[in-house]
Amino acid sequence: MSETLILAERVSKRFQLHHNYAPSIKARVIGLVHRRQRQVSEDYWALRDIDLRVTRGESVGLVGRNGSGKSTLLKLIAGIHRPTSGRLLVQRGARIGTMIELGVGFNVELSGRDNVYLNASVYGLTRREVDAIFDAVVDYSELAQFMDEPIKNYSSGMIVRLAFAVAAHLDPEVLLLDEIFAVGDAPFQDKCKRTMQGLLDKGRTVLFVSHSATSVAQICRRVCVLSHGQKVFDGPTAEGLACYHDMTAEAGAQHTCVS
Amino acid sequence: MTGSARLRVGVPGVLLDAAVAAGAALVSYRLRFDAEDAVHFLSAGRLAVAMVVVAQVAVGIGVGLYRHRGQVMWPVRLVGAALVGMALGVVAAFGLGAGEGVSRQAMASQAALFALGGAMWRSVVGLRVRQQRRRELVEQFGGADLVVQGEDLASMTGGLMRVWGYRHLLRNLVAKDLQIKYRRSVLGFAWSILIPLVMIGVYSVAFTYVMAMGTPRFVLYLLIGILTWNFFAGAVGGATEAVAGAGSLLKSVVFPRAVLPLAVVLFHLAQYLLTIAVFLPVMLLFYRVPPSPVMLLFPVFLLLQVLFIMGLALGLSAATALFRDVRHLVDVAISVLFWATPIVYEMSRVPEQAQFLALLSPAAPFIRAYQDIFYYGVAPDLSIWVVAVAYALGGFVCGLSVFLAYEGRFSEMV
Repeated sequence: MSETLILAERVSKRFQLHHNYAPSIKARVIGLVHRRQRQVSEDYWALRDIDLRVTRGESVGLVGRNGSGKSTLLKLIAGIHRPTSGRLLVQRGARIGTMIELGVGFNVELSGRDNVYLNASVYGLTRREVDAIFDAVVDYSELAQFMDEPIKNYSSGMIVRLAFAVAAHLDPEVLLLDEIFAVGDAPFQDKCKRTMQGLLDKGRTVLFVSHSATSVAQICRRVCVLSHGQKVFDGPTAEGLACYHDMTAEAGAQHTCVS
Repeated sequence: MTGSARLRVGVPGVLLDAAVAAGAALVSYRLRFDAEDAVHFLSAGRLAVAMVVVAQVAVGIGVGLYRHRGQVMWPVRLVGAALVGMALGVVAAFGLGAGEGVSRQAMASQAALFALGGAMWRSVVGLRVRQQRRRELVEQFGGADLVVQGEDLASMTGGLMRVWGYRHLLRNLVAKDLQIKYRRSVLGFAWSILIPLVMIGVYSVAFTYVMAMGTPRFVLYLLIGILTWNFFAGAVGGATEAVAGAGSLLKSVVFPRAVLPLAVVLFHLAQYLLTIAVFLPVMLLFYRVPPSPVMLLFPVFLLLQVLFIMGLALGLSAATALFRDVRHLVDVAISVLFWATPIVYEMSRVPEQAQFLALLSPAAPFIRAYQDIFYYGVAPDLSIWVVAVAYALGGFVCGLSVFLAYEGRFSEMV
């Protein structure tokens, strides 16, 4: 059996929805004395009892309708949110990279060059590590002549290209992707897919959240279908996508897929 | 992390707090009075001190400060117990006819030091509890090569080590702020000199000619206070927003969040050092202040001040992420504290009974130290040292541990 990188066992995540939530000290202090007057909050279980094992070199697609919990699962694995219950284990020392939103931490006043350094350091790279990948990033983004220009003069497509170029060169062992290349044009999307294929060829592990059946079919060998925070299917891509397709066709109806 | 933020206090906590309260009273009396007077007042006020200590612990028990459950709100309960207990204790002492030895300043300082001391031991114990729980979780679940995601969170040294691992991010964030501040402006860095210059000019005219305070070498005096105050107010005010204003970053990338407020502090520190480096030599030459060995104490107090401001920045940025009111409180506090701090007036103009109280204003011990070093040319006295060191250590430990305790929840709170 191949090496386990991510292991989730009965992982659940509860968010508290605060109705008219205004986090004020007054409300909390009143709440200390008057238990009844504590804020009305409703629990929302974004994920319930998720079991998942991902081994090295796998490419797993997470599909499901809006609000099914797939992005939450990705964020739990990344370590952005903490699970409410259950256990979520990752391999000791495994470098987990996230592409959940492109270009976070970009500052429009700074040049392309400075933004590459800033953005890469958000992901924990040292100056020397950025120096090492800088030329490759510039080549990949095809923005060499704009590198000293503040990115507020870039088009939105150029900004996405630069951001993806940085993300593509971080080279983590596990890459968590949240539907990010829906934004670019067709050639850009192709380039993104080739890059991801390249990562998989190098033996990297990819978890990929997407609504696009074609993207998932091209990249993933395995698909997990989530519905209302629960995993309803886990298996080969073709069957998983068929299950997802049935589910969206019978809009709203609870559907059971057979793994 | 709500669940793991609970402390097991109970009886040892009560005893520890009583000891802290008594110690705070001793230190306060000693700082307020000379050695001889302190003994005199303490023996006259021993009943009052005892009443205050008992009342503080009693109020603490009353508001559930030592209960095992619901310890998330302990800072509010603790400060409430310190203040209300002090007031009740003093009233009780007067009622028993033992009001003679009560020093209002020493009691106020006792309440402040008690809250600080109580917060410090709770912070340390709280982090240890969390660390222990994580360790148990790892032992229970983690195999040899699998670890619980986020296991390294929540220990104080671990927190600092993670920030060190992201020092390039810290540096890039500070560089970014400096770069953006001065780009596309003709005068650039000159603005950082001009703005304090204008403030000093206005205050000099107002206080020398209009209000005729007659402080000699007033410009030098003002300069020390205003530059230091600007550092304090800018860093604390700016850092308050650092976490709450970083929503998308928190929701999509994992990095030690403490980098955000610390970057704001370092940005303002850089500005402070640059302006100090320009102004101070000019002023010292202009007023022919001879160099003296006490000036070597400047970096010592600067270090203490930076630690204290970092602690405040960490604590307040975490608090703002949880309660948005904090930023308004900070704004109000900053504008009030400016006048409660000896910046535009000398400490000697404060009524003697209130001088020690004025020293407790957050920026005051550091500003007073710099005034002693550069303006009066003397070494700062014991009370300044004690308050500065207590603020630096207490502030940093409390701020960092509060920050680390809530760090895992920021992504859901902003």
